[in-house]
Amino acid sequence: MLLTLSGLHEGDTLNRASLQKALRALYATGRYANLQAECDLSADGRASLTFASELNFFVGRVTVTNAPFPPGESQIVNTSKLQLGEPFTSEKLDHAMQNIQRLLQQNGYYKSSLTHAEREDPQTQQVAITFHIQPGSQAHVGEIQVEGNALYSAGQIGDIGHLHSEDDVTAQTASNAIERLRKRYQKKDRWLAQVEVAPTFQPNTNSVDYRFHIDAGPAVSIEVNGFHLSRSTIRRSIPVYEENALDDDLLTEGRRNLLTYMESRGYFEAKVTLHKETEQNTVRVIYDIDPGERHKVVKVDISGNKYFRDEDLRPSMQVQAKSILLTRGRYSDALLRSDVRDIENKYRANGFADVKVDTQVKDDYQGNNQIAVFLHINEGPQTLVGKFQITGNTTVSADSFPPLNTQPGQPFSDTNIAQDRDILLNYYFNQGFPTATFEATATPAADHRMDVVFHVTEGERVYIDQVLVSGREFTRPYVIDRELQMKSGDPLSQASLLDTQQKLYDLGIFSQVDTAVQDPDGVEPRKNVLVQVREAKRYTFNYGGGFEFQTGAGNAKQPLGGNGVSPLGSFDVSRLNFLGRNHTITFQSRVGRLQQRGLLSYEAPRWFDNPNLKLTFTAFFDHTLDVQTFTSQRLEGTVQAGQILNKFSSIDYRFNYRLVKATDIVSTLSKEQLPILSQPVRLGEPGFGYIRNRRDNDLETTRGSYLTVDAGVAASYFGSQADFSRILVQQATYHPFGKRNRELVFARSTRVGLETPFGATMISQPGQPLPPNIIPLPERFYMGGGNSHRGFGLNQAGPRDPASGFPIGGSALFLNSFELRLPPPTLPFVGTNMSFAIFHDMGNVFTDGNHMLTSLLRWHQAKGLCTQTPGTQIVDGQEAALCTYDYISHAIGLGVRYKTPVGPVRFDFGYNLNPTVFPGSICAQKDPTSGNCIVSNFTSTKQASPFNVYFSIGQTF
Amino acid sequence: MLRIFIAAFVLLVSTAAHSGEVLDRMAATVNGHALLQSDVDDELRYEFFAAKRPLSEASSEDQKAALNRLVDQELLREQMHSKDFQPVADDEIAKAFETYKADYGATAWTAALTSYDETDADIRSHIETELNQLRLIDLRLRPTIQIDAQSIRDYYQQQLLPKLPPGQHLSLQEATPTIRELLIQQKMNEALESWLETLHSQAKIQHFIAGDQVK
Repeated sequence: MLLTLSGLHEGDTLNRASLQKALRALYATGRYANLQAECDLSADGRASLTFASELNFFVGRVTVTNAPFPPGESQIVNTSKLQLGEPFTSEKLDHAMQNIQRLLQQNGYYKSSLTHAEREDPQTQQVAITFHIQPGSQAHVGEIQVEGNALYSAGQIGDIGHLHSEDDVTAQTASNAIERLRKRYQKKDRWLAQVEVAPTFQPNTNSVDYRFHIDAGPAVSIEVNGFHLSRSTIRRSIPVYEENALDDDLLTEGRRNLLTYMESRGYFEAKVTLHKETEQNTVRVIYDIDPGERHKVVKVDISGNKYFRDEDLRPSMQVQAKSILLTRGRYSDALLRSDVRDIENKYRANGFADVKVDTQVKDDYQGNNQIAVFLHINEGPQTLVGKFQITGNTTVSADSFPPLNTQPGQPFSDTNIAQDRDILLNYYFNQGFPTATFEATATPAADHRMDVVFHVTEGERVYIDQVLVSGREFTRPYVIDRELQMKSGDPLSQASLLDTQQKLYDLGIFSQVDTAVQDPDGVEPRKNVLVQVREAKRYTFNYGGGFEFQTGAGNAKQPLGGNGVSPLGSFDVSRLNFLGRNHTITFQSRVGRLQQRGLLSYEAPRWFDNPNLKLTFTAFFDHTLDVQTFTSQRLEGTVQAGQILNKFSSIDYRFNYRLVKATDIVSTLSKEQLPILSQPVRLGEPGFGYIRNRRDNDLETTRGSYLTVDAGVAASYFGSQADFSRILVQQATYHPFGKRNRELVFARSTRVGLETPFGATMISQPGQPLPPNIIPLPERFYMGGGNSHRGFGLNQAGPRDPASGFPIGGSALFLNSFELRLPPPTLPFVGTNMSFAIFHDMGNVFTDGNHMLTSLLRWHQAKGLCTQTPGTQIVDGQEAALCTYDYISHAIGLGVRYKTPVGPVRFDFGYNLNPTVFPGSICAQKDPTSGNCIVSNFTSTKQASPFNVYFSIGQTF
Repeated sequence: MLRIFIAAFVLLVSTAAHSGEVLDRMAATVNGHALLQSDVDDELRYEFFAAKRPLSEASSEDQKAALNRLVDQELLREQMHSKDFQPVADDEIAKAFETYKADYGATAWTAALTSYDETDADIRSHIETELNQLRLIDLRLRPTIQIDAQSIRDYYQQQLLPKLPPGQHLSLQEATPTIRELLIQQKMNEALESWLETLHSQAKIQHFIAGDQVK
């Protein structure tokens, strides 16, 4: 290919001109630092022509050894300014050394030594450069000297600037000192203070002396006359205070801000002038305000507009009629002129070249000092595109171009043409035409049309020669190769480079990925593409702490729990890129008052080399007290295959084998139940989980829908000791309405869950003797809390044990939530980060599916069944033991959300309209051996608290 | 140059030693543009042709001077890419060529071409380059030159009058256009030196030392 570029062929007659042309063409490729043409002549007059060359090399990997921190290796590499793929020259290396040396000195390493080593690869013409640093000891702060009119002594300057001898010198030492001094002078109104510092290194003592040259300048006072303004308004308006500087530009900006403030208060004719007075050692900056009459804009009328509606024009106007936020409206001649200009530009961008906006301002309209502003728009004819043609696209067909704004019949405007230029050139750049150019011509045609022609000059197409990957140490080559979005022979495309970079970052195993074209300025039609990776540390450690706060937690002695704060700590270790295959081994642990959990997982993405398949093995131990009745212990192993079906949907297929046990079951549960409930149960359960996510934003959803289906079957065929099927479906929708950018969102979520036993397994009915095989306590449905029904404390919904009153879960669940999410108002201090929501939750947990179906329209609990004579024993199957919880509980409430970088944090205040009633009891007789209660006597009916409060992260759904 | 056929064609990439006769090589690069030894030879031959000096007198200093001139020419050529520069028209070049040829002497012309291994086209090309450079220099530098009346007067009194032959009289008014142009040319020469210095400092120029073979 390179020889072809020379233009010479075997058998040609060689002459001076053709040889010159060949040498220049070869040099222009950028691949050679030097060239010469040599000839060996044979007796018969035939010659062997040889081009002897010295290769150019291009910057490859740049590394640093023994880098001090700060600045750190990354900053040192950046400061070298050696760009990947660019030609490597001795001048660039010298500049890099100087830059790095300067950086080291700025960070106090004056005694550092810096050397370099290069490793050239003639095959790829890449050179890897390594800088070796011996940092030496860091310099410390030496003497402080002060010249000029500083108002402070050298010692005081050192104290103010935090320059203490023996402090290490860093890159910020001098700049921080200057900043602190400036602030000190500004506190004394010395806004014109000049502070300069010259550091000088003293090699004998390894210290840096700082010589300050300071001119404190006069004291400056800023006054506002003619109108009373609060100190805070003055400080906000005049940017001198914010910028900590005083210059004419800032003072002028202050004048403009004061004028804008006056106009916003209704003083539309206000004038603000500025002058300075100098006396001895003081400068007075005086703003004189002439407020004029106070007005109110009562009407802003727009007429003559047919193409744009009022709603399309008003939001961007600065002239506004009075409103709640603008009590006087907003008006000035300058603002009106600006609005006219913007409206005319908007029309012109849509083909109305002759648009004209006339304005009329009426004072004393409908009352004293009431202004009405009338804008009349003369749209004029709209110019449309007539004929449209693209020429010059000899290589790329116009059918493959992305959609353009300019089309026959569409509005003609320069704005559209400028956008189309960017679209087309961007398209060409990504098709391997880096030198493509674009011109547009428009010719007037009849009937207010413009015939438009786009002239494209494609230039030479550049292709990829080789894709060179460097920096790989442990990662297997195929892990990187399958993420590359380009290959040899493809047109050179910037988009492909960026996609490749993104995909490699997404693997999570590289801390840095750089892509570049080798020799970007060379004229060769085939170029190498460089992909340089830096593997991340393969072990990562995460630790954290936090707390959960909600009602229903905390007190295990009470059926309703209490308002509790549960601290929580976590520690995770991950081993990335296991065996270089992009497999991950993770250990996660959570320890808190309510939950202790340990998880070990092995994740293998791209199973069978399919990007949509992932295989995961998980071993899991969990010890949880979030149901007051018992502590759940679970030891399980899962193998799961995940499949991405499309952009919105995914499905997991899993087999789970677990041992579940309920321990610490409250001693007031009936003695007959305890042995059955506390028996560990082995479950083998194949299942699947399906997710379809069509939300516009997972954290702040405003539109779309979300569906999850989770189902499984535990059966003896799979080694399970209990036989039951389980399905849980949740479906949520989100609907925005209201003004654009100020939308309310109506969100709805419906959750239905059902467990159906089969074989020997049965459902236990509250208050009835337990069958021998039951769905284990930890496997039942529970509901209540910040992420489900906000009318109940944590897991407090549904059936309860009649003897103790503690929740025991159920085999059916129904929950429907409505939430009206309000747009965030603009508030002091928090701005628009806080928003509110009104919610309604309805639902409950039921003993089984039949009870759920019959209860859907029942909004009241049969409270009469929950009572009996006080002091009498509660007996299974009789009186208070027959208390039923088959009804739909309703709760309404108010939620407060605050936006944080990690998503919204949420406070919800729920009020249950029909809180649960259950029999209260007291233990009358205990088993002397086990301490368990064997006789419970009824005391009175108890009722769950209607008020509940929750703190969580993220939206409810 | 002896015409030879290309029988084999090899591009060596790295350190193979080779002992063939060097036909041409790189002499310098200016902002990525290659100046070859053959370009230096061409420039040297033209200079000696114009001065009617025998080529045998060419020294290494003359070679260096020719290369430096080529570097300057390349820097100026890069400045000609701006939109406000219009190259010299063909008829103007042709006219200048004919004038040059006539001044050289018709009988000496043909022999000289053979002696210096030049052709009409080569000489015409050099003349075109010079004319374009003069136009560029005029375009860029003349607007920056101001000659005041005092300078003209001083030149008239101090330089011109003393050199007038006795009895010849030339008034200030008559001499002013010529003096003005003379002074403009002087200042343009100074400005050109300064401009070229600036272009040199901004350019990336690399010289390849003569005698250094590519290893």
